[in-house]
Amino acid sequence: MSKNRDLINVTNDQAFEQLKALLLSDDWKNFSEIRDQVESLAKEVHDKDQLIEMLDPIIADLLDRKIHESRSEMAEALAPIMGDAIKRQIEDAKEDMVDALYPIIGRMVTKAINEAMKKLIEEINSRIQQAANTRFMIFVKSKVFKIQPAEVVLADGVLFCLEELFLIEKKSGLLIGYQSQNNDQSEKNAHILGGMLTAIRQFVNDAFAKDEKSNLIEIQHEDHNIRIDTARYTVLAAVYRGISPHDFQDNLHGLHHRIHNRYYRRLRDFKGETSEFQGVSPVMKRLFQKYRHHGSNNK
Amino acid sequence: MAQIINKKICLLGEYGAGKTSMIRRFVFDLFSDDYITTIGVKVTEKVLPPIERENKLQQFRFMIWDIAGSEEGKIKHENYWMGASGALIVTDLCRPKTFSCTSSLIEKFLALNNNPPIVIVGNKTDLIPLTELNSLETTLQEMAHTYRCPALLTSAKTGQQVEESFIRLAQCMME
Ligand SMILES: Nc1nc2c(ncn2[C@@H]2O[C@H](COP(=O)(O)OP(=O)(O)OP(=O)(O)O)[C@@H](O)[C@H]2O)c(=O)[nH]1
Ligand SMILES: [Mg+2]
Repeated sequence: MSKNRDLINVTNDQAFEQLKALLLSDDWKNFSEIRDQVESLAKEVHDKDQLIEMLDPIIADLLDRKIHESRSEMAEALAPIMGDAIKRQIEDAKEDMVDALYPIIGRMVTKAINEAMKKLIEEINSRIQQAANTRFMIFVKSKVFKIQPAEVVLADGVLFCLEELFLIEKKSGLLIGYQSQNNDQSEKNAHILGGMLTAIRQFVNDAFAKDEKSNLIEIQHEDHNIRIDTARYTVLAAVYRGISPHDFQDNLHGLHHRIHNRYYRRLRDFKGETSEFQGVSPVMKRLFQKYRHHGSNNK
Repeated sequence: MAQIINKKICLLGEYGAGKTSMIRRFVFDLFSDDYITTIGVKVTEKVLPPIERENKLQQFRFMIWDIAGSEEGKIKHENYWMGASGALIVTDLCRPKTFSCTSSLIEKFLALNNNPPIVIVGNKTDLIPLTELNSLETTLQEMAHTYRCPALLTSAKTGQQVEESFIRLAQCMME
């Protein structure tokens, strides 16, 4: 009996399995596939490297699209982070940064200097063309010393040419004394030039000077320069071309100091009477005599 | 020959009163008017005819500092007032409302420069109907009385009384 029951049971189980297989075989296959997938996904999510590999192309695409859509917003958002990151990088690896930048900056500086030198040499060569009477001497010297004509000019300071001197009352800008290299009619303009120079000087001092003592020293315009020496009551301005000799500033200051000392009282009480300063011009003339041999166009 | 004395004088007044127009045809000029907008001032020159006073002949070279005008009483560019021996104060007759701003400008200028002579001018007379001119002149004369200086009516457009204003200033300087 029990054997029979067993038999029945067995056949029942078999039948059930058979039925199951018959009914669910497709689902079963799907299920095991899904289980495999879930397992591998779980593994991928837990494994950082694999996760990155998986998301990488998506995020890249997403970023790409976002950046295209709102470039400026992205830049705004990233700028502080990038800034910090770069700052930290530089802090951490100063030496490395210097090593990396050195060749680039070095090249830039060299290029700038080369260009400036080239311009200077060109300028000098064109001056030599103009100054026909000094040309012969330069030619001789360059042959004797076996150097380029331009270098002779540099060495001689021929480039320098003192053109005008203005002695100006500091507050009013009124002209007290004037000398020019070639006593031409440029004196006609000297009063206005003195006034405008004073206005510009006051403008610069007012706009940029940090303290009362600082003063505008030099104005450059193309190849003209104006060197300004300031004393208590007056300003002495020298208009020149080219590169000033090393002692020029000192000599200008010395001249100004002498005039200022000699005329101190009259300057203090100055009311526009320039006739009291007729002795100033000959003194100013001496500076021109001193630098006469520097000028390329003293005929 | 009269001896020339150099003087710095300022042209002061509200913006658009006619300062630059007044001197345009009248002075020796080297620079562009652009300087007035960029640095706030332009210097021009005028050598006046010799003036006789008490048997003395005197000639002035005015270095005229045309200073950009202030707006609504906001005074600026006072650093250009330094060392001035006088000033021509220009008011716009078409805008009597600005007269009070001009008064405070005058007071500040006088205080900064140790009370130099000034001349007040009411400019643009050519635009004022004759019926209004009298009362405007009275107002101006009252202002002049306060500061004990002359007042003149000018037109930069027709040139009326322009040179006279500068001569009056020179005469005040000789007193
Ligand atoms: N009709 C007439 N117009 C004038 C006269 N004077 C000046 N104007 C005009 O008024 C305007 C201002 O004149 P400006 O001379 O530039 O005035 P300003 O005082 O120099 O002004 P800022 O330099 O801005 O302070 C210009 O359009 C002139 O043409 C005048 O007498 N008559
Ligand atoms: Mg103007």
